[in-house]
Amino acid sequence: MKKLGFIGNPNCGKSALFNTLTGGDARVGNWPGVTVERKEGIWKKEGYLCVDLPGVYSFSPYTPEERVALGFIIEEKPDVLLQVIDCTALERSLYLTTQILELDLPLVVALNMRELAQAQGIAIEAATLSEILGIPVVEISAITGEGQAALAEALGLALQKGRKGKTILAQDKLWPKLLPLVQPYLGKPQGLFLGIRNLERQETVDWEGNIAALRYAFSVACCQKVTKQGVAKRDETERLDGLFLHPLLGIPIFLLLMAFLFHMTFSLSFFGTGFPSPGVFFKQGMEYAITILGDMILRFFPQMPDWGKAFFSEGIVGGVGKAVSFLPQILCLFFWLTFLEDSGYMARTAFLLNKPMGWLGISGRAFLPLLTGFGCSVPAMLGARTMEREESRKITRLIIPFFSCGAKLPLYVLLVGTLFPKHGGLLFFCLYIGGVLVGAVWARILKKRIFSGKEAPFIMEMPRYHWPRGDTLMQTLYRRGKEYLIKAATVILGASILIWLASHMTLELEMTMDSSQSILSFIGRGITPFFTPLGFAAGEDGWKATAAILSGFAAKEAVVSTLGVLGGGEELFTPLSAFSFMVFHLLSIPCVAAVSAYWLEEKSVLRLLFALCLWLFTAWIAAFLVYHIGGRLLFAFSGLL
Amino acid sequence: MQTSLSGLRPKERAKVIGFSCEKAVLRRLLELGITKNTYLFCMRWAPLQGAIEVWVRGYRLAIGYEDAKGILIEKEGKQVEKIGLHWQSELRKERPF
Repeated sequence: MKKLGFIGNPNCGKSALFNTLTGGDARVGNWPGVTVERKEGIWKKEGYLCVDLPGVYSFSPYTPEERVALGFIIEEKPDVLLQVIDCTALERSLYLTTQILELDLPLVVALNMRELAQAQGIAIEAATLSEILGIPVVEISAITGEGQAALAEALGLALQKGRKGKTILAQDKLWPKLLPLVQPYLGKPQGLFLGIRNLERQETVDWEGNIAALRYAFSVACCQKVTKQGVAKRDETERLDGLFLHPLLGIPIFLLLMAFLFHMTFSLSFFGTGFPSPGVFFKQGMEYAITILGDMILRFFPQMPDWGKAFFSEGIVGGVGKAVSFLPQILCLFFWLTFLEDSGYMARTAFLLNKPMGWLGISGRAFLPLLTGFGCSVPAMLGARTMEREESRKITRLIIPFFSCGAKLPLYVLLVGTLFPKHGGLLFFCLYIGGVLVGAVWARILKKRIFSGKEAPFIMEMPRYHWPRGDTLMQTLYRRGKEYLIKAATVILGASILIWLASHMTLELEMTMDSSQSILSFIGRGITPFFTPLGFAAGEDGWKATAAILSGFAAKEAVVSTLGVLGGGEELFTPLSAFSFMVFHLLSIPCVAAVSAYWLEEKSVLRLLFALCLWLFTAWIAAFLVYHIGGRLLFAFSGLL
Repeated sequence: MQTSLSGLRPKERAKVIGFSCEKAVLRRLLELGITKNTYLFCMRWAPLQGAIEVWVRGYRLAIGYEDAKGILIEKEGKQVEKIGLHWQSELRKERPF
């Protein structure tokens, strides 16, 4: 089967065409070594193996997308290339074309988005363009599927004829100077292309700038010959942007959208109706279903000893339930994330938030994953994938746990409610904002010291708005869901079982129902001295606080229930020690599910260890400072509480 | 008068006359069509002056404030009264992009 590569600028509709031709059967994976997606599919009608390359503006090997495209052409040697061009951006698109023309490869150009061009008064003469470029030019509509026959014909013809690379630079007076530098490459496969690429990469800025100017000069001249410009009208995207990018309304609208998204996924009372939101509804539904299932299975084994039943229903079913219960909220989140991304709105948020995010030292696209962290860290960790640079993703994932998740709330409610009758609300606010500030500080530190410390340039095309395609959306959801279940869920299940065993087995490895005899409390007692300086693990019952923290590793909600089970609850604390306890709870290592999600995304044990240390260290220092300095301050201002 | 892109106000047009930025940024600008003698039209600024949105070579491009400082321009002054229904045609009357 002939291999057909789809190439083109980002947002030109290349992927839409790809989907239309391959029928949405694409196999999606990653290019080796990078997180850039690779899509392969078969155009059954014409028998081509299609590969969808990432959108690129040129072939400079500086971003992973460009390297991937280059690598594909040189190493995988496709039989023919199809460049999809957005008619409304012809001048810019031809830049890439002049580079592709330098390849010894059959090439066909497909002009897409003709309807949009018409609305802007632009009419392009495909025949003239074809003559100038020396390759077939076909008009298509990626979404409706128009032009497929002509496309197939053009591809067949191009393949038959074959093609040798030509460069537009040869027409310029600079060429005699450039030719000697390119000469050594000629004669080898893709010699002309690689030779000129080498030229562009020279350290003297002049070559690159000059060559770029030549390419654009050609493009402009070409456009003048083939484009007829009529009356242009403001298109829908611009009209919508009048609202979404409004200097005053833009950010509030964004915040509203985020609040809505958040509400849909995490809220316990959907728009005040008292019904849970879709995210929570399905989550509870799954937990319920799994519990029922577990009970049904248990009935087949009435002779099992008590601990066996407990192991099964609490350990396994509980573990599975927990792992799977995140799925609806993850899917809900990814649905909205993908929807906003595909529709083109996310680009607007990057534009609107460039300044505020600069203060925090993180990319504007971190806003959504971080906001999600207020609900649950697990989908937040996964959501960080939508960010562009790996470095930003790493930093974001590290600070997500500082954004106090929903499961941490019960503890605050308990302690604030009983020990801080006045100023309760203020304390809540301080805790949440404190988390954000700690995250921001770490983001700045990590960016400067550990990571490169250089700001990524913010130069971004504003894509058009369009309704995301339902089928691609569903495909993404399916892929993400499957991936989560296979990878993360298994880890979460495994860890939950381990923790259950640790809290139900004695040191002699006998089962026990008394958790104070378990391995977990043994460990708890052992490490209590570590927590004593923080104020809340002192005295005889100090180990209970420690055990509660340890149980928090299984689930943050468990901290409260452990305190209850071990006896004591809020009596174990003074207001000050409660405050430091909550600070520790806020900042320390998140639950096993979040840690697993982190590991799943980072894929490195080393980074996992670094993260665990960072979280633990931060929590410890913060709690220490709160307890001791707080203590001094309170002594001076006694009566505040 | 020579200034950088960070000083271009909405509805003003300018010509690019040079760059004072890192190679990485320059490359990106070049491949997106911002070369010497290119015309940029400022559509808006993001809140808090975080980034500028320009109309260049027929499409819309967002550039962060810091990166805009590295693009040296020569202003041509205000081109349209408001970005209304046919603003593109207004611009093209004088200078087809």
